[in-house]
Amino acid sequence: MASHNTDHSHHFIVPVHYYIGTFVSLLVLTFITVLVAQFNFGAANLVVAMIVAVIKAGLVVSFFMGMKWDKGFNRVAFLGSLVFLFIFFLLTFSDVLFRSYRSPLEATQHDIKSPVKKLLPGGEGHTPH
Amino acid sequence: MTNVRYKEHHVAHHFANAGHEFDSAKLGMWVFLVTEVLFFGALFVAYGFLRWSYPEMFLEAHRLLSWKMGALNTLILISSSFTMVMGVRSAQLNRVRQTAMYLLATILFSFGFLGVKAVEYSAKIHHGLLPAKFFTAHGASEHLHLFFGLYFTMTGLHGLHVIIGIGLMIWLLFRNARGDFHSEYYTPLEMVGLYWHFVDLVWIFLFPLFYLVG
Repeated sequence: MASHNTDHSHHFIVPVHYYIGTFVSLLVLTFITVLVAQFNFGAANLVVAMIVAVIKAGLVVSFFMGMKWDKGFNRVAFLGSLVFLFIFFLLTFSDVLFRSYRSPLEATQHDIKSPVKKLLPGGEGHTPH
Repeated sequence: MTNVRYKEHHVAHHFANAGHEFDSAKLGMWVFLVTEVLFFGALFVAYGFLRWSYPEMFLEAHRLLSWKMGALNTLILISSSFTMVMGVRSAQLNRVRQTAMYLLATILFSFGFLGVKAVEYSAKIHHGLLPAKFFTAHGASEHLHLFFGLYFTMTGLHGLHVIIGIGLMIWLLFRNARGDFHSEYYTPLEMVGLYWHFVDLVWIFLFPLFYLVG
């Protein structure tokens, strides 16, 4: 805890420039993520979008939610949730990404019929907007 | 409103002092947010699984959403997070009227968000772009209904959080007008603030994942 008044942390008032700075940064990052999405970089698009989203999330947690000035125990609680979320992803995708065979969604397998009417090659049907 | 009568806050008997009470409330709020992270986390895992399984379908499906609407809602939510945090700060500085104005602005932004969402939802419903067996549109991919299942589930639950947030902020407005919040006591404002920023946080991930697929 860098703050010198830990006993009265509820009296600590965050200087307003932190909030304005965070707000402006979030707007700029939103602009960047929309801009990047206008170009096709293949798989890099998702990577860039996620990096920008994580930076935005970090700004919101650190400054808007005050984690930067918060008690260590609250940080542990929150970061703990991210660790367990990571484990959730890790275990699921260690299976999903390395399957040699993926069961298709089809009537013969599960008796599930897709409700999507296929677009015909001649352009019948319409693409809604 | 210069002569507001502040209500003195009485610390509950099981706390040593106001600081102890505040810190306990805040820890409780963070633990609640931890459960929220895991709750939404499960849906993000489902999203990851389906996107990995049907990448072309996601490309086709995201073109059926308007990224401009999504971007507009992102700007609205970021602005509402800013007004929320300024509202808490105003209470810390004993500026009751300013707190009310910031809360009101946050509520208006929230309704703006829901308004944009309502326009989007009605267009999707009109075109039959719905989850599972309710899907009635045409598509190149036969898995489009899965995308809209995720879309309505995730943005729907997020929207529910926004609606709950509006309710909480109206409650705060009343308490603020009563003079409950001041530099010595603003715990409910701070906690609703944390909740509201979490709602913003979820949208920060929903926006690129649904509207900016590639």
